Amino acid sequence: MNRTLLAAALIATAALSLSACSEDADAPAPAAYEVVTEASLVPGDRVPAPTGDTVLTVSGRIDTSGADGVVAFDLESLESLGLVEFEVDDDQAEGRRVTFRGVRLADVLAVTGAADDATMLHTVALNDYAVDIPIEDAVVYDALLATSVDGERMPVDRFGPVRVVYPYDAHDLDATIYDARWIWQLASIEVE
Amino acid sequence: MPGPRPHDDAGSGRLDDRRARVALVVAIVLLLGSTMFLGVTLWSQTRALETSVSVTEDIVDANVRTLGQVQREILRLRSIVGEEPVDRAELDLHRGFVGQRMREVSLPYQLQTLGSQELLDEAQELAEVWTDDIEPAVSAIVVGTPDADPSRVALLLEGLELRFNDLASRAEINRKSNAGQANSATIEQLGDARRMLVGLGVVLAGSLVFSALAFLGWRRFDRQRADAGNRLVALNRDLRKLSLVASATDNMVVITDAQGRIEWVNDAFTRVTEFTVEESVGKEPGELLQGPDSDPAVVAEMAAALTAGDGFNVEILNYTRSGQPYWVAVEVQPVLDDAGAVTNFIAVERDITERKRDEEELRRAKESAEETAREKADFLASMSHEIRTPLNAVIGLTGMLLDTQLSSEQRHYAETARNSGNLLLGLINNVLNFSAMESGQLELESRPFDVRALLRDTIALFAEDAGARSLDLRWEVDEDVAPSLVGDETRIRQIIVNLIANGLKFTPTGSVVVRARALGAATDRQAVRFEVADTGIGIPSDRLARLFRPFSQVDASTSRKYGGTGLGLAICQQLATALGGAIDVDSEVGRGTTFSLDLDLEVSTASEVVMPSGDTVAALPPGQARSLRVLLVEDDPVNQLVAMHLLERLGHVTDVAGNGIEGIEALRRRSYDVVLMDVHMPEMDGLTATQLIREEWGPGAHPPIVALTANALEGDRERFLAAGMDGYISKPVRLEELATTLAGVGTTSAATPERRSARPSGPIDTAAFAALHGDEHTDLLGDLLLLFLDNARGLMRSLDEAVAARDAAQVAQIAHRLTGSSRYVAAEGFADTCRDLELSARRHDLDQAATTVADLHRQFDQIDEWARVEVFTSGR
Repeated sequence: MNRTLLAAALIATAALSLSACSEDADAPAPAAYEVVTEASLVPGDRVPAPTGDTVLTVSGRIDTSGADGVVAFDLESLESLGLVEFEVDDDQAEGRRVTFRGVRLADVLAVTGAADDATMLHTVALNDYAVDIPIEDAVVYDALLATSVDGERMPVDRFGPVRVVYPYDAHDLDATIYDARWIWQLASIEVE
Repeated sequence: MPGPRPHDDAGSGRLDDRRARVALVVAIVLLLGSTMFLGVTLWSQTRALETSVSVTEDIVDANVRTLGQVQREILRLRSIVGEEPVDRAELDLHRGFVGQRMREVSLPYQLQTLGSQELLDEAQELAEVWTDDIEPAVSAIVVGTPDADPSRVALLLEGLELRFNDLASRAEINRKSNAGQANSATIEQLGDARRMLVGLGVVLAGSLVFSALAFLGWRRFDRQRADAGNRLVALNRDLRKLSLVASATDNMVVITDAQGRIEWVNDAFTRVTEFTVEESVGKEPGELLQGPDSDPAVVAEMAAALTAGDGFNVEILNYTRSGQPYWVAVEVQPVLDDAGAVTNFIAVERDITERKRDEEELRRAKESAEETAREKADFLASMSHEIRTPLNAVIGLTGMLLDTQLSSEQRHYAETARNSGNLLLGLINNVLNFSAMESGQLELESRPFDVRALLRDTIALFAEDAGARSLDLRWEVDEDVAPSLVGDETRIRQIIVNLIANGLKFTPTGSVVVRARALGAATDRQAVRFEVADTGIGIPSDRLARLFRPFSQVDASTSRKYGGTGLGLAICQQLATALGGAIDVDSEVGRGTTFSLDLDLEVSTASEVVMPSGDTVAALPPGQARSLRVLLVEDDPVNQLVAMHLLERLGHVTDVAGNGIEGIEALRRRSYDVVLMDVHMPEMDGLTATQLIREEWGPGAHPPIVALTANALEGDRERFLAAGMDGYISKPVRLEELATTLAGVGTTSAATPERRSARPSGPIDTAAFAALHGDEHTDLLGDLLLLFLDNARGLMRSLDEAVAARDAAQVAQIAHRLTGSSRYVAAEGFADTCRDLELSARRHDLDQAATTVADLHRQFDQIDEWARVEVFTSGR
């Protein structure tokens, strides 16, 4: 009799844990972002030389044929990779929920011909803040190079002109790890 | 039940079980308690951890670097502002950096960095200072407006930087304090965690112990279960056998609960009772099976036993479902539990209908047989009566015929006829005796008697017969045998007479000896053995057992050769049993037979032996009889004739009345000395007449009344006497009996006859005889003489023996008796000699007695000779 009770308790516990697991698994993943403009610059195309202020340089293990090892983007060339946007709480800079618009980091890497076996992106800000971002963040977690917030351009004092943001709503990411990768005033990416 | 002392096993098993159960419950409660305690602790620990984590999270979220970065950007901007010439683009970029930092540092989340709202407010105030005062001044320099004042901006930036430095320091202090708090909280939680770990260890240990115990318990349980399984298998095997027995037996087996309601029945039950198992279970066997003729007493007995919890055995009539009755023998046993309380009853019911039927048939057969036997006895009695009446006529008339003048050949035929009649009468008497004893009507007397006289007189009866066949017939009595014993002399005599007759009948040569031996000393009582030993043909040993059975003789040829009914020995045995004794036989073929009768008799304390009365040997009236006037009340003409003839021969005057009424009328007319009253008569029977006579004349005032009846059954005598009769004579009436009875009556008023002085020439004084019996009855003399000679011959032999034995008392007694009987036939000389002999014997002068006896023998021979010449061959 006692053993029966024990078994019943065990089964009940197991059932509860299983149902707890399936609750998460069954939740539909929200779309990470909305596409705003289609890309006019696609992989294989040559990134045109900046005509305005250079806002981002990409270097390291990329396809540098016909260049001096660095690919430079101005806002126009960067945004020609196609704009997407998503809403997210921006606790670190704006202190509120905002809509970021920009280009996908993955697209930048694709158009610059980053090596297939590259694993890490060494990023440096205008104020010399540096942080390493794993390439999978670009591919898996849809990291975005934001170029405007709430429809406004981002000057330096508003953490611009280019800033790395993550769609925290779409992916369950640990803020203590990923907050540090929200690098603002992004100046350069070195593919390693 | 299999297994040794199963009760003890079960008892300790139950105890262990209870202990194990208690231990299990305690263990579970302890474990549950520990777990709950641990759970609560864990809950509070978690709450504490949450707090701790939020603190730590604040520390983690804090962006201390921001404060430093703010100072750095301010310092770099001040440095650029102080350059000459100023790089406006560089200045603009760094104005952006500072702006961005000031914006960042005033964000709400910096509360975590700064550690207090106060510092956050201050940071926001500084941001406003930047936005409101400093940035416009920097922008003026970048744009190059005329009021641009780099030195003032530198001163403002220095002040901002100082204040940020102060803010950062205080924030650092706050942060350290928070971190310290978090740390100590963590340490505390660590302690809690350790305690929890200990608790967990305890619970784990408890669980381990519990598991171990549970395992051991399980092992034990498993073993017990295995044992129980084995027992169950064994039990099953037994059960299957038992079940086989219960199913295969034709006996009905019922198991009930303690209240007697059926729990199980076997196949035989359903087969016999026709009730199915479903119909039977839950019911009481009684309500199913008992019916109208079931004995309520037995039902009550069963109910009482069931209530008391006892087993019982009964036989009861049950009914099948369709109402067919059947008998069962029911055996019920209670089944007790360890405490002795009844849990079940087991009933085994055996169908005994066949047996009951057999018993019933046997009972009916027995009743029918008894009824038949009763009818036979009644038939026998009535047939005997019917036979005796004509036999009476035959014997009487033959007697009368013998009184007429007959040729010697005719006389021989007539005598043979009379003897045959007498023999037939004896046989009928035997049969009557036997049937009387069969029906338990035997009544015994208890009077003192002399064993020696008994044997002597009995022997005398057979002396002539034995003498005629040259057989030595004698008697012997042990000195130790008491002179006087108390008992029914008549019955003892009857047995001995039978045995002697038997012995004589089957003894061609040799002797028949009658003995009385003392088996013990004569105290209050004495055991006496009477023996009759012959040297006859003997009896085969395989026949001895049957000897005392009624109607049995040694073989069929015996009855042809020796005659007899085969009732004699059966009567002897029944008499012996009635007397409280036993009869036995010992025999050897060719050597002889010895019958023995063992009796345990009271020793008489009476000083004088009362001599037996009614001794047929001394048949003739001892005193002088006178002529009586007799009233014969008798309806049957033949019986009238016979009786009148006999009475006439005895010298009495007879009047005849045809029935009771006529008898009473005759009595009114004149007085009589005696009334002979037939019992069965038309108009008025003898008993009624007797009662009327007694009423009319009063007891004692009427003449003596003597019953005449062929109803010779035992008890009649008492009945007649109770009716007021004074005597009893059974029919056919015989001379001796009649004479004796009437002598008893007559002597009461007998006148002494005149004694003749002159001696007659012959041995018989015919004149005296005529005087004695009446002149007209001289023809009676022959009969009386014959009787006298018969009896006197035996007595003379006894006298010889007594003289030889020098038994003076015996000589005197025999002489006295001979005196009486000889005077009756007017043998006066003989009588006188007898008287002399008696006197000699009384004087103990045995020599004189021997001389006188010799003289007596001579005189006896003379009488014998005279009788032959004068009476029997006189041609009268």
